[in-house]
Amino acid sequence: MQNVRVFFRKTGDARFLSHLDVMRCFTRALKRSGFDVWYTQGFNTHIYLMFASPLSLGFESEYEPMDFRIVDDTPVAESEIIDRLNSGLPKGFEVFAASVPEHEHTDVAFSEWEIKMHGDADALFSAFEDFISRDEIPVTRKNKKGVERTENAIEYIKKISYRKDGSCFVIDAVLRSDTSSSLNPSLLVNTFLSDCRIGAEDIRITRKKLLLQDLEIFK
Amino acid sequence: MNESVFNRMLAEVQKPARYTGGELGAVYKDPDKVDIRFAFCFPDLYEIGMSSQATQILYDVLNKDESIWCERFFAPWFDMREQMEKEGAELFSLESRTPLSEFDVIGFTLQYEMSYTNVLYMLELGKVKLLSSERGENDPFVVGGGPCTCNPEPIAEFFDMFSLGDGEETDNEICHCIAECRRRGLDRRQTLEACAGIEGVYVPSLYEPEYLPDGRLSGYRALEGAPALPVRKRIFMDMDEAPYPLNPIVPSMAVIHDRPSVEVLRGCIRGCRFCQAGFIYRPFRCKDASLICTQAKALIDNTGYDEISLLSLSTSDHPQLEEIMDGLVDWSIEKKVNLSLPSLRVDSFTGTLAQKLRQVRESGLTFAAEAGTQRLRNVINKNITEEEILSGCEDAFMNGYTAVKLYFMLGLPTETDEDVLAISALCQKIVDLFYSLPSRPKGKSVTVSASVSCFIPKPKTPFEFCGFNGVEELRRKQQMLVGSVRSRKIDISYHDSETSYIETVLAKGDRRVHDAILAAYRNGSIFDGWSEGFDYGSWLKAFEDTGIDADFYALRARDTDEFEPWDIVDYGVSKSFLKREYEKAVAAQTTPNCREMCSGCGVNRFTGRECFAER
Repeated sequence: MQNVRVFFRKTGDARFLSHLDVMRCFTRALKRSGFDVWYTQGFNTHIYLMFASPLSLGFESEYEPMDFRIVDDTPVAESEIIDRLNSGLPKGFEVFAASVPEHEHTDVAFSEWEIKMHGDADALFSAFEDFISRDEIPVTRKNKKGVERTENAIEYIKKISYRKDGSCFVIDAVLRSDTSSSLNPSLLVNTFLSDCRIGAEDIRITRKKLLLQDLEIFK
Repeated sequence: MNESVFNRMLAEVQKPARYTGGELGAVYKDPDKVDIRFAFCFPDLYEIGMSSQATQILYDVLNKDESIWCERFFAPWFDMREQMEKEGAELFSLESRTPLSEFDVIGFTLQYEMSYTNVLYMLELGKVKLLSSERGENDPFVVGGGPCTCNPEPIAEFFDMFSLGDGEETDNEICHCIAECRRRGLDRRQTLEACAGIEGVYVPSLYEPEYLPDGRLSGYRALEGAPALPVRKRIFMDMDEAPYPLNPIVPSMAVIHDRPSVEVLRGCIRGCRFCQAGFIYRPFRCKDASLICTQAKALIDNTGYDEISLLSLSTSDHPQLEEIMDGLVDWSIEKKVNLSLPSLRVDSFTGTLAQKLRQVRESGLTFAAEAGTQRLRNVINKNITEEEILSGCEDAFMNGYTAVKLYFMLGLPTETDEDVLAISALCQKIVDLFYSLPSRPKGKSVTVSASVSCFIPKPKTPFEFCGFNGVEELRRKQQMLVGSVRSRKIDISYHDSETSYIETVLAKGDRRVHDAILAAYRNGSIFDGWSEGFDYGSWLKAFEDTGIDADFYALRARDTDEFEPWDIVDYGVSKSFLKREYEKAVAAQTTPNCREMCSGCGVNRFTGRECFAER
């Protein structure tokens, strides 16, 4: 039995697929790949696959890990895994690396995000300058039981910078994203936009990397 | 389609993946390198349309032709319509996001009468004129196909032509004919006449209906250049040669029927008198067992699904069922593939078959009993007995099943209150049977669900002469049935009789009914097959405003000699056969299945041979 971790991109129209859809697409791609993949041993057996940090509907990513197992221990060439999976995936998915997992999923501490929006870039830039310099940015969200709570977003931000890119305003942010606490970038951006009341559209959120506690790259 | 408009719209809708395309198996071509761009339109949601084998077969057949690029269109849900109207966006294809109006041929598959307003909805969103008579030289040709075309008349004004029967060859021939006419510089009318020469193509504008003073049809007048009526449906005889998609489109999002299918046979030998499919898909044709197995395996290898279904009207009527099961059961266990056989008959659900199926995965079990009493089952020629239903259930219980679902209809011809009450009595017998079995699944309770629909008398069946039972009368029967249930193990669900009434009008209407369909659409009716869409008031107002007497079409019992709108298309079964069957039905006499004895339905006029002669 060998553990395999692949990394894939989910870009373009593929961002419109939910996490459940993505799991189904990869289940089929694995089944189709012909690898002797390991199935869970439960009552309703299915292909074992594991994602580190599910991506929200509408988000793109350039760095999504997925783990599965091959029953046979004979090493398989990385290119073989990449090619066979890619030939069975819909448009917008691209597996670009495959290796033995180095870190545990629970080691993921941060996600590096790029948040890009169209609008009055100058106005958005100066509004964000003011917004992010505050000591407290209250964000409200519901927990699983539906109870609302308000927290300070600043506590979830490890690094943040922002820039203008032509007519776009872009935020680069490293946000906490471990199993116990995380900040969804759309929550930050929606709070900002309703605070500054400047119109922005075609907001594109892309995960660039998954990072460990020491900001090294998750592998 | 402008990309930022597309992104803006999709950011606002519930299930954006309905509109993106890009699935595994979707076909992309260079539009400059094809002669004909074909818009395959399914007048319902993506999840419904992508569950249909018609979509997969026609997409495959059309795209295998290098001169054609077939792209897909589905009806946008209400949230997407709102966005499209806000942006002024036209209906666009999933593949290249090209507006509908830029296509050469628009092909609608008509699976269900309640999707008719969605045809208008999609045409209008695509900026295509709704009436055939309004379309000019530069407009696309709008073609209709699928089971509803066995009475094309209520929608004839919206379509330039219909492809009757099996569409595997016809649609490509229509494309080639249109391309050829264009090369020769022929005008629209000449092109339509040329298409009318293709086997299985009916061009409504070449014929004019004529009516009697009392409103009934008297006949049709063929215009110059029109082939004689009736137009015969197309049949693809050799199922082993029929093109079949082995690399189908695999939807990325979950759809209703989320698994590939192998069509194992076409047509049906049973002759259940209420069942339109059982008559319009005749003759009975089987695919060879070894080809079925090869195709099933290829489909799993190519798509990566973990489930496959065998598709037919009655899978157990395949003469090589044992061979099919032998070829697939062990393979499916080894490959961890769930084998689903949706259309098994009660009488064939033998112990060994139940056991074989259960090895793969436990699933619910459904029986189509259709009526509560033997008398009424004889009327509809559902040739199963109560003993067979009970022994089928017993087999199922002995094999560990604890849930049984039964299908029934209300409003069948000659039905009495006694027949209605017999439905709950039969359900009770099944519950009692479960508890009487010493070897029933231990520690488990039984559930018997009965799904009760409203009978709709459809064209091309022996009940085409009958009227619909009536909205109020069906409600009374539904209430009576629900009130008669004495056990919590029995769950009765029933269908809305208002929808069925409208469906009857649309199924049995003539050409004049199109006015009411258009008016209902103008009143806001779309997605009539959905509770979110169906608005009875909109339809009643449409009938009122257009002066269409819905009862004239839906409720009236028709004389067996009346000229019916659907008599202009020939689907094989002859009217004299339907009359004979109707008379036997009223006398509660059954007709043996085609394998036992040929009842002379007339379809072998097309095939020129006996259906069950030695192969």
